[in-house]
Amino acid sequence: MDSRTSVIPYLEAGLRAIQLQGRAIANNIANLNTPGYRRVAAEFRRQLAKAIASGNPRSFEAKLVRPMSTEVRSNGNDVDLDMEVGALIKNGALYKTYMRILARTYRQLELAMRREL
Amino acid sequence: MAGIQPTSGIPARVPPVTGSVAGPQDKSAGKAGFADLLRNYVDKVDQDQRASAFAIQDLVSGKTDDVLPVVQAVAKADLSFKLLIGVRNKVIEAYKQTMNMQV
Amino acid sequence: MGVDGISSGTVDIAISGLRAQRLRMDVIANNIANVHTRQTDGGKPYRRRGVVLGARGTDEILGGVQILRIAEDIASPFKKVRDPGDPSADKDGFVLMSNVELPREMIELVTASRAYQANAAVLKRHQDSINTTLELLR
Repeated sequence: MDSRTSVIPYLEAGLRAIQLQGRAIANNIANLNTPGYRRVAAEFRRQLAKAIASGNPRSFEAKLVRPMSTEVRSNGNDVDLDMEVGALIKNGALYKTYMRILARTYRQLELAMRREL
Repeated sequence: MAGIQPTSGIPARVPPVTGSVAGPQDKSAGKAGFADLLRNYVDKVDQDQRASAFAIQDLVSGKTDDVLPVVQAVAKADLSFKLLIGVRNKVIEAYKQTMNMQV
Repeated sequence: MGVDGISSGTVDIAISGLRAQRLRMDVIANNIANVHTRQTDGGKPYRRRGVVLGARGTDEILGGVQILRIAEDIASPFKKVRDPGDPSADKDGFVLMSNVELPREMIELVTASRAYQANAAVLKRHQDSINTTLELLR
């Protein structure tokens, strides 16, 4: 097994999860004061861990859920700005990390194919 | 050959050479030495690549949130890989030059 | 891992700080809004409230800060103000007022606000260090 080419499906699976998570966070922040709005999240950790353990990262799909687990304010809204910002920061850091590693991996393949550095 | 005698107060860091200097009959041993060197290095690169792949897997599957060890593993594997490619290219270049030499 | 497990990353810890200070500011705002409230549901004046915070985790496992409860300040007494014209005045003409003291609330507000900013600075610095780490892969 070529360890160089095999990380790409894993990174792509991780990126799918992160992109959906990013959209969920953006939606929550956009609805910070919408009466009755409950926050959404991307559910992916369990499925992603399972897909990776089974050696088939391509099978992974993230989905959106409404956890309904945060405290509701008087207007029916449960979005906590600080929590969303924290999730956004973690998401952004992971996204950047995956993209950099992906870029490096593709560059390595390129180098292996060319005759000069 | 006796050990190198320090002429100044700086102690000699080079260990004394014992035995004779390699003669012409040791040339084949020298060639096998380089092939071994290369093979060992290829093994090292393979190890680095595997460690990097496992670190990436752990990060993506959520086993760890810490980005730094993963980045270090990837950078390290990348560097040793680039060095190997550089050596490979030089060897190919040297081979082509040898083949072009008029005999 | 975040607030579900105990051990938290830097982001989770800073976020817990932000949430705690934001709640403090909300409670202070509520105190200030009720400084003149003489009658609450119980008939008594408004009692000043405070947020009780506690550290999460242990000495080895850092979990940031947690909100233990919002408690009423039962230690400081209601203020007695002479106002015989008020319908709720007693036989001597005194009215009980809330135990909210504006100077104290303002100091608490500044403290909470500075603490909020400090936590936000932790987040920013953490992001900077992550970016620096990722420069290894540039």
